[in-house]
Amino acid sequence: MTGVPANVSGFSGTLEDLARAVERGDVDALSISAYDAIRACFEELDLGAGKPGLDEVGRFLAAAGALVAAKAKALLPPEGEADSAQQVASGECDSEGEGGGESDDGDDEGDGSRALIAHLMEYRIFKEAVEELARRDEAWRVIYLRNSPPPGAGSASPPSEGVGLSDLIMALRRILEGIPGEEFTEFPADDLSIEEKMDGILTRLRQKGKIMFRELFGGQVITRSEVIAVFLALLELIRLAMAVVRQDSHFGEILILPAPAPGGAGGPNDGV
Amino acid sequence: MEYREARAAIEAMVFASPHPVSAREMGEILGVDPRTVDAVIDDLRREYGREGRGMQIVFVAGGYQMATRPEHADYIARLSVGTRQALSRAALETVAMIAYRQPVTRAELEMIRGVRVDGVLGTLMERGLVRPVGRKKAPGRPVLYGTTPEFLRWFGLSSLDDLPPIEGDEATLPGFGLRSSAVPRPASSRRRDITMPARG
Repeated sequence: MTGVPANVSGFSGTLEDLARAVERGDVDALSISAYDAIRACFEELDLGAGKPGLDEVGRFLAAAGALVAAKAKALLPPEGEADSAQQVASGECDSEGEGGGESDDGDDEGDGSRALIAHLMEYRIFKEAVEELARRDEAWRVIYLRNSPPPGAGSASPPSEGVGLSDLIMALRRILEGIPGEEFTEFPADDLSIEEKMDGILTRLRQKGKIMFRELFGGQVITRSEVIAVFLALLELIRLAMAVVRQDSHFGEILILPAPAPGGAGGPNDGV
Repeated sequence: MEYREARAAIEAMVFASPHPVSAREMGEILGVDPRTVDAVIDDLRREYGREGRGMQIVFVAGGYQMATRPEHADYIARLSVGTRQALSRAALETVAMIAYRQPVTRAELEMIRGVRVDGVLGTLMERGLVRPVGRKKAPGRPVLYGTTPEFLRWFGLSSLDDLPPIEGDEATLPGFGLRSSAVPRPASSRRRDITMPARG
């Protein structure tokens, strides 16, 4: 049975592959019909040459079961969140004066059902909103806005004025050269978070307005690993259009600046 | 300032601006009431329509912007200006959830959709439609996501209030319900009053 392909549009593989893909989240469980996929495989099994063997039927049932389980898992709220959702739901009812006290212990099953229904209702409502957004996506795909970025490119990253990636890497190399060599007999796992470094840079930008590139790496004892983490954080901020870099002259200081608001008036270089 | 002069200046500003430009901003530059700017734009729009021009003025992301007309899309597509790819269903669902519930964490999006959204979020950020807007004060300080002005331009929305109204409130969606402020008002309640000035 493993050789029978799952007849699902946009997916190539067997029913077992599909179940695994749904479980991993590679395939949107809500975009496939488990019923249709299982039925198609069942028909293949039934119409196949000769009687299917016990092993074949067993594999089919196991794969079908796995697909149903994966789909159910994808649809149902995680256990912990379902519990908290029930509490929230109960709390809100109480605050509206309808509950009049603590939730009834004997009503757990009902709470769970209500939480699940609410969860699915919200998803359904969003799906309806998506229809309207899809219509707008379609309609505005054929309208070109003056001076907008090329359609499909999204908002262009703010220009890095006069600074290329190679300039940044050269500057990074100079920073690294200034750090004394470290003799390691082993490499302890550094507890470095790029996101924390991004936060740090943004906080400093908010406080100071602009930061010199070398200032990013000064002020305290810093390791090579930290330098790399800070550098990656800077690249990520540039990629996310949350910061820009500028160099006013060749070999001049590289400045880090907050990105101008995309919807704002913008500077003279915006959108150029 | 004479009406004809103001009208020409407003048209020039809308044409030259790389971003949607608001009536308030143009009003401040010209020293006229923003409502006058709205009225002038309305006048320009009528003229463009009457003369069958290839351009139109649209109101997106809180401001006015020059745009082409949809009937000329095929011609423009033959120029090397690129074509905009449609968003996938998963991307549309995710961006809709972010738009209505923002700021929202990835885990919250995954709870509603029932699937992981890492890849979709990456695509949406690459297209400039969503961006990190902060961190939630919760264990792990997860990143909160929100929409960008590019999101409004992409879907031709003037503001988040212009999102299609959806059914549902705290009463119908206890525990998972939308904030009442996140449910857009009907379009009819958002219409601006535009008064045409006397022509100078």
